[in-house]
Amino acid sequence: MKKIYSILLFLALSVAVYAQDARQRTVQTIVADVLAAMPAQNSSDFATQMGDLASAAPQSIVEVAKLMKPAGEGVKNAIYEYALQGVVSFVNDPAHSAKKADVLKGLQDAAAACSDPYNKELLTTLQRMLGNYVAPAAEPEMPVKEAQALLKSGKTHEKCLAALTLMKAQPEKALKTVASALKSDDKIFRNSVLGNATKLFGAASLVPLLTSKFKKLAPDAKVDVLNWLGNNKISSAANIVNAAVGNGGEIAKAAIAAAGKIGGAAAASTLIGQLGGEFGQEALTALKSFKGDIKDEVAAALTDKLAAGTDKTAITNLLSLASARKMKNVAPIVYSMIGSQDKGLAQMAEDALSNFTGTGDIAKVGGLLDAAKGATAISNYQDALKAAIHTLAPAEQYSKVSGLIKAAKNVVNFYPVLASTGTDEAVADLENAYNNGSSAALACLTNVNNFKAAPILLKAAQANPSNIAGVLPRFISLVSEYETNLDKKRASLGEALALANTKDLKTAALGALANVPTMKSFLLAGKYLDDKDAAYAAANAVKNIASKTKEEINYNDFKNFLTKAANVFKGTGNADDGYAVSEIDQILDAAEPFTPSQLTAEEKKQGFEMLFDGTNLDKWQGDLEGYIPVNGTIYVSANYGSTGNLYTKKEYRNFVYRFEFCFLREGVNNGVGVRTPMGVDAAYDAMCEVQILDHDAPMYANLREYQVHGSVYGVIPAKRIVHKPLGEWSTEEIRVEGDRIKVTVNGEVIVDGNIRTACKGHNVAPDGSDTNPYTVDHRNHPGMFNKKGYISFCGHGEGLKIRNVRILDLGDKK
Amino acid sequence: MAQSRRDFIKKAGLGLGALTILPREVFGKMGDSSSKFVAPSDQMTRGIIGVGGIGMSNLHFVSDERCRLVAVCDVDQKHLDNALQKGEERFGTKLQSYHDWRDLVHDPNVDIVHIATPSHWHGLMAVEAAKTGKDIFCEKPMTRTIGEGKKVVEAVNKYGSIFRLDTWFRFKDTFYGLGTTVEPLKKLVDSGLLGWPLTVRISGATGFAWKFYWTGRENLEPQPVPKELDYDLWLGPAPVKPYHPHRVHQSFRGYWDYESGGLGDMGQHYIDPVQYFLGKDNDLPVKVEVDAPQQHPDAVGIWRSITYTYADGCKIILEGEGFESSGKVPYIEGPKGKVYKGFECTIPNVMDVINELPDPEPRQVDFLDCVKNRQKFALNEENGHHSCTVVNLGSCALRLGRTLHFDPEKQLFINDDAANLLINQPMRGPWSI
Repeated sequence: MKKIYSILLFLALSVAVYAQDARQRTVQTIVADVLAAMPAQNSSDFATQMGDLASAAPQSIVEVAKLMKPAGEGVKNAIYEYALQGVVSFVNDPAHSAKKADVLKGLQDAAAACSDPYNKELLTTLQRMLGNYVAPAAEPEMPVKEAQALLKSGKTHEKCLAALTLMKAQPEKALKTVASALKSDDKIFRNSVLGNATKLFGAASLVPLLTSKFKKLAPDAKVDVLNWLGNNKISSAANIVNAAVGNGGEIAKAAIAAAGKIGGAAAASTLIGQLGGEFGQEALTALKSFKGDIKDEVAAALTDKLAAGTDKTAITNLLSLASARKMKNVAPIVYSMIGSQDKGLAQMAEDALSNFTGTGDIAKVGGLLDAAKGATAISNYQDALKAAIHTLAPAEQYSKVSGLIKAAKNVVNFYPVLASTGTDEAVADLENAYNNGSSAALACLTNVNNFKAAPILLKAAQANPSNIAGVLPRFISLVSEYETNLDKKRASLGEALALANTKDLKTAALGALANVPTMKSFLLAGKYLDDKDAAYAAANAVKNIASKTKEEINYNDFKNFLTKAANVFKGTGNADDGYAVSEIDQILDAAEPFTPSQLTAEEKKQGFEMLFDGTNLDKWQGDLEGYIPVNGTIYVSANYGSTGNLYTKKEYRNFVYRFEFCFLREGVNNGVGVRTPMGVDAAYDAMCEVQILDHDAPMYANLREYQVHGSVYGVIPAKRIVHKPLGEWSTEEIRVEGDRIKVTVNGEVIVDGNIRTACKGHNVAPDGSDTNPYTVDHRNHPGMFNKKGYISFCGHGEGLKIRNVRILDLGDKK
Repeated sequence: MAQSRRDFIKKAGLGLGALTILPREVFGKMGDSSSKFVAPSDQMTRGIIGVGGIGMSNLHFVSDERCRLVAVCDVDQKHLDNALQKGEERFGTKLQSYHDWRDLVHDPNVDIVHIATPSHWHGLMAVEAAKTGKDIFCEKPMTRTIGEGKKVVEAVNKYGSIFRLDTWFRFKDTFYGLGTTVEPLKKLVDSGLLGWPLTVRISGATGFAWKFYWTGRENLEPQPVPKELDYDLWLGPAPVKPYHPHRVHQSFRGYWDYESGGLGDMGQHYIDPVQYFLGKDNDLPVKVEVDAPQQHPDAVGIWRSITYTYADGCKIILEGEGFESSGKVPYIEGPKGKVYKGFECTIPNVMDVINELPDPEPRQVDFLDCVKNRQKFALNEENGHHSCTVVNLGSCALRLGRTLHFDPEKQLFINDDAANLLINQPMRGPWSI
């Protein structure tokens, strides 16, 4: 992504330049401009660039080709390849074909002049791309005589080809070919001929032959024909198919499947009749997908079978069918079965009940649940009650369930149903029950689909290690699903990882962390690369985060962790992990290390000290979470929105403080606290805060003059500068000597003043009030006359980068 | 010469008596004679071409009583040695090994040819396997060009082979962002509750992320070919380009000569089930539009979106790198309803409605049963070629960088020579399909 942005930026610039000199360029200039814009990022840029290149063909093509170097070390021909391929595509578009001949000529001339074999190959291929499309010649058909001979003596696949050839050559004899194939004992051949005849002549033309010959066919061929009749849904053959169901064996199986596909009332009753037979399962499968309404037939059959009471298989399958297709008309039968003396039937009905319950059944099922004994019955009635309420709005579901609970003797039976409502009230009720000692309530909290359950689960895991295995997986999945703030998500998963005491739990937490694409989650996951149980999940996490994050990650950590991850993947010996290694290689290829900043020779001579050279913040203290060294800069990251301050470890009196800064987004706000104590607002309680602000952002249109960048905040306004574009670096120097302060940005002095004179000696209001008439912001600045203090960065949010921070300590000298 | 599975099947029709006269050595050649005896009529044999990545995966480098792995082939001696060693360890069998895939295809002990090479080989190998009377198990994407796909369909029909393409979301497993199998979606679409035409959005936001690390690298510096690799035979029909490790093995997808990057890798996984639930197994889009940076002639790059439009107005939109979607993105959008990631639907209690509908028509989902019964597998050469053609239409439009119009009947672009040249791309001699 970063690469694209920089190319886009470059493109925008070059297009702007190009617009000024459109029609007067030489071919060389056109070529240079086009190449500078390669590859085009969208179709309109593409059309502009390629239109230019084509307009100057053939010479432009020769010029581009001449720039290509022979393949070898360090040779980069990509932009020329983009340009040549692009122009070929462009003139190939029927809308731009006028220049096709010139581009072709250019490619021919260029190929003639080219000595490198690979470049020549490209130029030749591109010429071919400009050619006319000629459909590939059809393979010559085998002569009929040859096919006839092959049909007699060939191997199976040759006979297939021979039969196809003959059916194409002599369509009038095709039915004979099919008829004789059906008599063959070669299953491959039979099915091949059937399939190809269907493709050539249509299914309908084969029906008379297949139905009239069916009876005389060998059993194995009957199976093929039945399959065929089903696949082609030949409803006129329904009688044959339905009759074949009674045949038994493979024929019956094929007939049942075919009857299901063909459909019709006769098939439905035939198949329902088979539900108690040898191929009951096959009939059930066919009926599950049977088109049309069969619920009355199913209910009638079930009633009959129950009355007879003998055919348990049929009853089981009928109930499965009614359950699968949610036949509500069967519900009364199911309730009657629950009350049956026959324990088997009662159990069957209880197991299936949840498929048939609706809102009208809530009270009835609630009663059954309250009275239920044994884990299976309780769970069945819980499912049935969940199904009965599930179409209601959650609040209504909760009120129904809590109503049932108030009247219930076995309250615990209702907890899982309560959990299924997913309401805040349900979470609160279950939390209460858990606090009153119900472990069942805690178990139900792991099933509730509500983020409010997460903190309760975490607390339970932290309070008692024996809860970890039960609740931590759900805590992780809730955080993973519901937490939208990436940093909070990372922090929660960090807590989960701290508790995770098994490989599975670590894997789950790291798996969730893999979808949190931030620098901090990268660093967190990286810590687990050395943990044997967690290494594989950690490797996946660092790879995923590295490939997705838009945040910068310290190059050394980046390289170190990804290299470790690659080794983990290599170590598995699993071929699929090879892909991961390749992905990591690509990510690392695209990353760039930084060079630490250094003092200039002159600074060294003067005695400057490096406070931050890009590698670490060892000379700093304070909010080391919000300010992080990343690839040579101090980075205030977008996702943590820190408002904390970063302080030098040492205190200073007089000094020259130099640093570089750049803004990553509009309206960045920060500042340098001068002679500040820790933990105060430097604008008032330090000597001063020198403003760092992207005051060019539209949101600051109404800024006071003493708030612009470089101002001694509220005391001495700075000369207003125009900031460099986002992403470009500026230099700044702040020189503090006694009461004097001088601020220089990009070599320009924008403040040079004396704080004491600026407020006429009154840093606070002489009358002790909050309004100070002597300062430009009319505020009190009690810290203004501090003699010494720390130097700080006073954060107000994300988007600032700072680098190359150094100081010349002038001590007490004036 | 040993007898092949296909001859067994043929003879099986003669009744049990025919089996008892088969020579014992037939079985012996198929694998370890110490393992349990299996009736030959129930046992098939398989050979894998390409034992680098997917061919060695736990899914495929298997051998059991129903189907024995008997042969492996690779142009990289290291892959081959590894496969032989693993074969010995896992199956206690010395596998027959081949350097040239044609030898494996012509091995009479092999019934099923499993093609697990980079996709520039798939078409050629499948056609040759059909020509020798083998059944075929082919990794996705089915073929690198539309023309090669047509040839595979032709050959499979001509020689009576059973063909299975190896992706499976049209008939089993949780279908990515949907959180269910594709079946309930098929029922919902068929019910008409969402209206018609439908737009399907395949994007990270709907639970179908594209793997853009399968991009190629430009400016590759030529490297010496490792001694274990027969680079010429690895390239086969592809143009000769200087060797670089990134071209081959696990990163080959990044080069147009062999595949089409993330689109080729995931496209058929994602698009094939869509063709199924839209009922378009015999249909293809009439238009394909792309929004992407210009592509390099060799290295596959990224793309922001690819939009397919069918004649009836249905659309499939692939949303890729840098695509800016606003708000919640529906996976399926119809005039009367939308389905989001995780099967969230604008139709209230939609699962209740779906549950009352009949299941989709049952399909053949056991490949070995298909081989035995000579029935088409659920994902076969026909519907596989169609969904692969959707993928390949996208790569044609990407390479040309413009909108293309397609004739689904003729399977050709309309009045567009440049695009049609990508349908039947020339092969490097002596290879031809």
